[in-house]
Amino acid sequence: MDWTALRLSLTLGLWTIAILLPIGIVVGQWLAWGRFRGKALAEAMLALPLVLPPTVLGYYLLVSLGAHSPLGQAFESLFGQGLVFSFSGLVVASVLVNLPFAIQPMQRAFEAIPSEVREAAACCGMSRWRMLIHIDLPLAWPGILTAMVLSFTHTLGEFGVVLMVGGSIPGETKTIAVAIYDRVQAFDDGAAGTMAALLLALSFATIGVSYALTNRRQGR
Amino acid sequence: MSGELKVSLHQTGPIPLKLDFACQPGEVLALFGPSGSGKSTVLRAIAGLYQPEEGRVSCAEACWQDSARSIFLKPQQRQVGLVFQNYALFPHMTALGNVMAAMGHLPQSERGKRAANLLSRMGLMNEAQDRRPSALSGGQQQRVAVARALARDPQVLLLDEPFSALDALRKNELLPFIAKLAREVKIPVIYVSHAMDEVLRLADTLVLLEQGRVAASGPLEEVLSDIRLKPLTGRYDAGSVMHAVIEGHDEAYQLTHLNLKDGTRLKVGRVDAPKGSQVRLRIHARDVGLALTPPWDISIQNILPCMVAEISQSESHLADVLLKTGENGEGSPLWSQVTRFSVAQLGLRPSSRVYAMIKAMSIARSDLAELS
Repeated sequence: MDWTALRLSLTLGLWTIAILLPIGIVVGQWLAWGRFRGKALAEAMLALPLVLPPTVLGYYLLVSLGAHSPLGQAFESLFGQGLVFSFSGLVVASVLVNLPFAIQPMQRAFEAIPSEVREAAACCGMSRWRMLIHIDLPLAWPGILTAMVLSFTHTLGEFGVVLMVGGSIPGETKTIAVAIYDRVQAFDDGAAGTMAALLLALSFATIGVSYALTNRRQGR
Repeated sequence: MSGELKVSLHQTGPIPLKLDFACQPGEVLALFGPSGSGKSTVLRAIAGLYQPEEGRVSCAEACWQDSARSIFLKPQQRQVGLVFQNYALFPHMTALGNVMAAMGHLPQSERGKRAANLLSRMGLMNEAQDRRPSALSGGQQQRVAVARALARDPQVLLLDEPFSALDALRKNELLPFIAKLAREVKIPVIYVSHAMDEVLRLADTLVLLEQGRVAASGPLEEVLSDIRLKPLTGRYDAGSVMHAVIEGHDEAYQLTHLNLKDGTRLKVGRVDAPKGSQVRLRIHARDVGLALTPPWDISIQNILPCMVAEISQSESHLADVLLKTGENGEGSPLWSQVTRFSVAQLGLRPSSRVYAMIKAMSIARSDLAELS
């Protein structure tokens, strides 16, 4: 049982959803209510990670974040450390991969708020910010929760992109999914089995809690 | 502080608009017209939820929109109270929370008490105040919606078909309540409807809309008594609308005696309002019969001397006769619908003296509205 890998995965998951939460809210609202040219194209681009093979995605990330890329060089000059084969690089990759998992449920949830309710809020004198806090977020809450749970569990299980961008450096980029593969390669079926079961239980628990919360809310 | 609301909207599409009107504080103005005539769009434009191509909307001293000066205030910057057709209550808040949500202009500590007061005034008691909209009846939801619209201390109250989501029973319960409230608030009240019985009981002024433009406007009695507007107002039975004062009640026979402006007296079924109250009543044209001499030995109680002002013959068997009450036609307009045959038989023509006969029971409770 690789506790370091588990802790790394959980940390990565939390960072990912922490960054995706504001992005998802802003982009989700923008796609739900905004009317602009190229909206369909934007939506299609955001859905791309859903269908792209993880290794392909990982390859392009590796190229665009690498030490020879402008992005990688900029990051290195700022933080004195490259993006690829580092935890930070993993976070960036994870956020990009999870964009559709975070944005789509939030967009649907914002779309489901009746426009009259938002208009009523405007007629009640609520500022944009108060409307967000008192109307949009409470009403879209089940969708936001779903988005966070999906992104979190998906991060725990992500394999291809992690391996391509992060490699398998213990304590830095070796997540639990990679660790399981590693153990299977080493014929350590016991450790692999334990970790797989743990991941299964963890995913099950997160999904279960989110469903229970959403149902209780809707049941009222 | 309240003041006159002035509205002027013009655009060619997508919804054509061409209208100007004003509404005084304490006045209830009804925007009446078939669906698709642009009624709701006008309300939305006043509230700032819709921006027409050209327009000027001002309330008291404040200018809310002036396309000539590129001014367009957001709904948040206009002090309007809008009651939506389906109420649009915040589903995740209690009734009290809904009202408090519109009190952003008050200190936090005052909101709860003010909101509870407002809801009680609307007739929503303590227990129901803590319920969410889904646990409230349609009538209760309407009360919450009205309370929320008033919570902002608006300068204009806008009502978008507030009764369309209610059944007839609830509607009859809430109509007098809203009518009373509309007169109490002392701000301009604009009210959108396509139900004439509601308009009759709520409004002072009527603006008839047809495809986004004003077909007619003026005091309710005048507009409704103009038979030329029948194609627009006449989805309900055409008739006359007049003011009267309750002179007294005949308890033994359960009748109420009314006094029209010109002194003419009318007997109708017992009205549940005190002596001296002002009422508005509608007399359906088809309930008014005509005679050349006063008939004495008939059951009809109301026999009014009138003078014929105008006769409009249609191609069908019917004719509309406009009468003016009083011996010399000095009183209110009164419409009578009789057959063309009768017009010919009685030899009716403008300035003929006739007697209009109105059955007391033909003026139903729904044709009579008490004014405060």
